Amino acid sequence: MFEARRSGDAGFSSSDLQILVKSSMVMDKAEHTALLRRIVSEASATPRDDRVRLHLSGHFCHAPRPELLQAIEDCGAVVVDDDLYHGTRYISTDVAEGIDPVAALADWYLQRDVNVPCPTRVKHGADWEDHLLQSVEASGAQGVIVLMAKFCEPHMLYYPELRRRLTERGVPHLLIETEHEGIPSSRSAPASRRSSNASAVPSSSAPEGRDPMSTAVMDSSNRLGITKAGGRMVADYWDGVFTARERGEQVVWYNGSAVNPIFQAAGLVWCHGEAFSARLAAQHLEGPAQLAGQEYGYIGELCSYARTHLGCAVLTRQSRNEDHIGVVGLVDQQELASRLPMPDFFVNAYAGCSTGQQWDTSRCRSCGATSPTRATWPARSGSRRRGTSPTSCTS
Amino acid sequence: MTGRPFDWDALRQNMAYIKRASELRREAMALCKAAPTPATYWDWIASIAHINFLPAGQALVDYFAAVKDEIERRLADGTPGVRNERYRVYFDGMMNWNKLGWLAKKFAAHDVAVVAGRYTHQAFWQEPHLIDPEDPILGMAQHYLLCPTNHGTKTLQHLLLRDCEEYGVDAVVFHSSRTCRAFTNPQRLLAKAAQRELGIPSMFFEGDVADASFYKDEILESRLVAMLEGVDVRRGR
Repeated sequence: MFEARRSGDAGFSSSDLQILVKSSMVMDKAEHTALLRRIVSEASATPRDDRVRLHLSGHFCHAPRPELLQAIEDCGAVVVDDDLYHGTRYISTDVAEGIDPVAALADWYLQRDVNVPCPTRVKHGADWEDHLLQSVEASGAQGVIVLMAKFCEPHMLYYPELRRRLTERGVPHLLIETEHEGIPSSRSAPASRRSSNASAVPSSSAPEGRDPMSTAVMDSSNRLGITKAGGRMVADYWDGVFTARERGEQVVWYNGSAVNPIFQAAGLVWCHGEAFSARLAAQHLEGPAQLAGQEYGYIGELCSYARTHLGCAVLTRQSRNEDHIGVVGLVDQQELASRLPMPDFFVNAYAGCSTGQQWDTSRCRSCGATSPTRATWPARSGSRRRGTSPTSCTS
Repeated sequence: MTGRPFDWDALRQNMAYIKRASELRREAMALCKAAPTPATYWDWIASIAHINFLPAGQALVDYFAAVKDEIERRLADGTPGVRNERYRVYFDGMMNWNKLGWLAKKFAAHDVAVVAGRYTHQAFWQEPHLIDPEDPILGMAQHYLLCPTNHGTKTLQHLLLRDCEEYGVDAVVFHSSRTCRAFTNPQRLLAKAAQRELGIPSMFFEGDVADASFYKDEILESRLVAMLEGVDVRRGR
């Protein structure tokens, strides 16, 4: 039925197909299959009419509300394909027969993310944007609606890559962010709306200069004096990072846990992504990076550490052609966000945050790197013990 | 990957410095159980970079030795971290980095000493006894898993209640950081536990780690005032 829709049959709406998929999740399989066979046998092909042909993309967890699907079709569109979880993604892969059932189910889980790539899985060998473009071409879709469930960070991190490829291919697309009930959120907006929102970022991020407490209320805090010297230590450290290329040193960008003692022992210069974002924010210099990230496509609900640092990567990449020694930002050296040297390595060291792995993948992509290779940290001499397993890629 | 052999001796030396710096940091933090506290959460926030990612070395150890020295001097001469400490508060949440100075002044203006917090006190090499400089990998691995966003609610409740008791806390402030759901997910349960187990009230304010647009000062102001009034009422009973 999905293949027929893809090939031009408009007999079943996206709401109809969603019902078939959802019912298969809860019904007895034999009973469901019997009913499905009956539906197929009684159906007759219905050619597409002249409505706008759309591909629906995303929504990895729950199903978008049927009312939303209906509203899209009421606008004069016909859905010709999708990669929704409660759609093509769910039925894309069969469980192998003739092997151990548990192994077959495990294979099914893994293979499904190859057949229809899902960013929640961080599968470096599969590109969702390639799959999406191929699907659009195969179905003859004229546009794509991306349905993004609110707070779905893997989707937030991946969306700019989809947007970029769709734009390059000239495929019109619209982002609709949905609440967890599956209906559009009030924040849903096309890219143009977000761009206009972006202009608010710098103005809202520098209120310190208008601090009424600094004049109206006496400061009763009594901070430790030593922290001023500590502040100089931190500034010196970052200056050392910014000038690493001038000293011919290799640079690693990492996020997550404090694995920097390892980098230090390896003779690398290290930049902690969250720390650099925090530093920019503490200095009220985060605006340019967040704006760059927003214009690239990262929405405001995404971890602001991640999108600030990814915004730095965007600025860094933009400046790359103007700086052959590796220190970026010659256009405006005052912009701290664009002074990070390009990385030689990426290392992901997340134990307790679900954003980290996708963030790491997005960093590689936004820096223009190819899919990272995995390497095992060198085993300690005379020991079988293994440590972290860094992800690296060349820039 | 780097083209050079990995220097295991350097790693051991690095971890020896970090262990000592961490011990000094924890000892200095413990001194702040005194009332009035000689230093506040904001001082520990200002020192996170050092323990989290500055190079391991003698300078790092010297810094935290100097922090501890200053705190000991303040204890000796009675210098408080907030000029008129009337309330002691625990801060649960990621730091709102856009508002470091602002929040320090804001709470102090209400005579509130923020004495400890999950972000500062339950992270960043917070368990130095796990580090064995001669054989550091196991302790490092343990530390990487002891991240405050990697604990279950039961563990977080234990840590929160323990700190609240040890630091003599009157109330808990929860920073509900909009884009860090990993940190905010258990906060409602933690607030209920503080109220249920210790009778400690709490408040929430919205903000974010690095996006200033989510912070609403009026909400923090009004909720803080209301919570402190509640503390006064409780004391008056």
